[in-house]
Amino acid sequence: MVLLNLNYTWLSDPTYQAWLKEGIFNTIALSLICIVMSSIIGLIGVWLQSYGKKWINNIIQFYIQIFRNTPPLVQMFFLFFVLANLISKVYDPTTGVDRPLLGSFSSAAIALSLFAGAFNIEIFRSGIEAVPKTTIEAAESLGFSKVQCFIQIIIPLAFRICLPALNNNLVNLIKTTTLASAIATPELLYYAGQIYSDNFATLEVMLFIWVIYVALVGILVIVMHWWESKLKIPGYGN
Amino acid sequence: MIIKKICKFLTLASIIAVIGACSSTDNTSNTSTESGTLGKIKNRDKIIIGVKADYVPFGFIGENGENAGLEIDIARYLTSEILQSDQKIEFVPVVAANRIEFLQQGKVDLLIATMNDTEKRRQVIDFSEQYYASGTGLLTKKDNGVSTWDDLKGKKVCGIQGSFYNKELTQMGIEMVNFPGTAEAYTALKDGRCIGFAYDDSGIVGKLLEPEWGEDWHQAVPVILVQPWGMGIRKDDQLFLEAVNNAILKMEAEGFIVQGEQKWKIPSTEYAKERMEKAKQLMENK
Repeated sequence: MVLLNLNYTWLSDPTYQAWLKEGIFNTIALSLICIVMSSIIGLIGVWLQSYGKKWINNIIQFYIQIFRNTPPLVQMFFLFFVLANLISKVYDPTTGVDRPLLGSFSSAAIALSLFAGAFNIEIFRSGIEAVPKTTIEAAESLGFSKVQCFIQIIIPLAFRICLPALNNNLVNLIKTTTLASAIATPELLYYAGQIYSDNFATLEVMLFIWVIYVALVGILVIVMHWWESKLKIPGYGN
Repeated sequence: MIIKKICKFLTLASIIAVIGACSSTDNTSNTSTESGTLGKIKNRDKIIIGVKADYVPFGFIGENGENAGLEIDIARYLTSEILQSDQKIEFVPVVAANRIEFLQQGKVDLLIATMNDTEKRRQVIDFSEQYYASGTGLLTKKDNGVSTWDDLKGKKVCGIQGSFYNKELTQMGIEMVNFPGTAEAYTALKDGRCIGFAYDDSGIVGKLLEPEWGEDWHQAVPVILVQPWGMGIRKDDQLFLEAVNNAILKMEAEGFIVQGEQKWKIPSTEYAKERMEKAKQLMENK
């Protein structure tokens, strides 16, 4: 009954089609950039931690506490409305005046990467701490340098252990990209909101973007599970 | 403690007594022919009106913490027409996203909340006579030379998410940058993230009354997409609708809105003057 009354005429409107295409593209771009950047932040952070220098650890702990304990929306607002005004400005012909260098897309990408990166450091750390001490000692006694040991021994083992937790965090990251609409990043939810206000078709538009997010996250989960099974070592873990 | 309890009990008892008294008088006066919302208002001897509280100078909270603005004056005028006193009124603050629901649920009797009279809204509620009109204006810097909407092709313009004009402005080739609320949009405009802010011209008028904006900013581009404002009334409430419409016509004929524009420093609009003339004619014909 309800399903028969759904109004999807807005899908044939060329303006809306262009908006939805751009929205989906921006959501995917933002997700990919943040996944890559936050993983790199996680790896660098955990590598620096492995040096065991107290002041480095303090800095990393400070970063983790700041970004893990504050809402991502607040971080985005702070970056976009406050920090962006403190750093350099560039002339923008489309506004006729100087504007902050960081636009809405880059602000969202930086804020979300730092947010998810803070979690990723802890996720990678959980994997590294699960690598048996004896394995590391064996590597050291075989003449591996600190960096070699980290890249060739610890990371391959630790990565397999923390993949499920990393997977969780990245799924959350994709869904958190919707917050970027609050600073006018033209992603999927940003355009969806406009379309349902124009057409009073909230349910229909929501169902539409629901399907798209399920698909996007589904693809990520399938890839991660495939990777997990590819990396499996017989006798290690399950 | 005991005294407090006794006091509480006494207030409660007196409230019950008053309610009882009211409902018993209701029963007797209910024999009058008036039913619907109008009857309810007369029995209650108070009218509940949904108004804006964040829309200078139409409906906002004044310095003394009371509702103030042109629409508040209009609400008081209507109340004195219907209940013979402009004090028998209760204001309920509403926003665009909840006002129609408030009316449908009976939380308010009437909406006077800068609401455009549109075909889509007429499917769910009724509208009174139109009493004002607003369109889409552009707040922009005085020195950037923008004077027509065509000057904005390919330029970034701030807006509000969900506004009905976003689609049309996009189709005109303007790159819209839409924020959830006006606070974010005004900040982005000041930061130079867009060349102008497309918003209700009546809302921009209120912003320009603030000295820090009035100095360097102005509304230079002609107002487009003008839409009339109507008061929201529940569907099939004929008696109340007529009472409201009569009051609006009388008010317009007296020049109440034209004077109100002066009182609240709103640039006088052709629309209000035309409506005044029309209303005068209608009143004479009656």
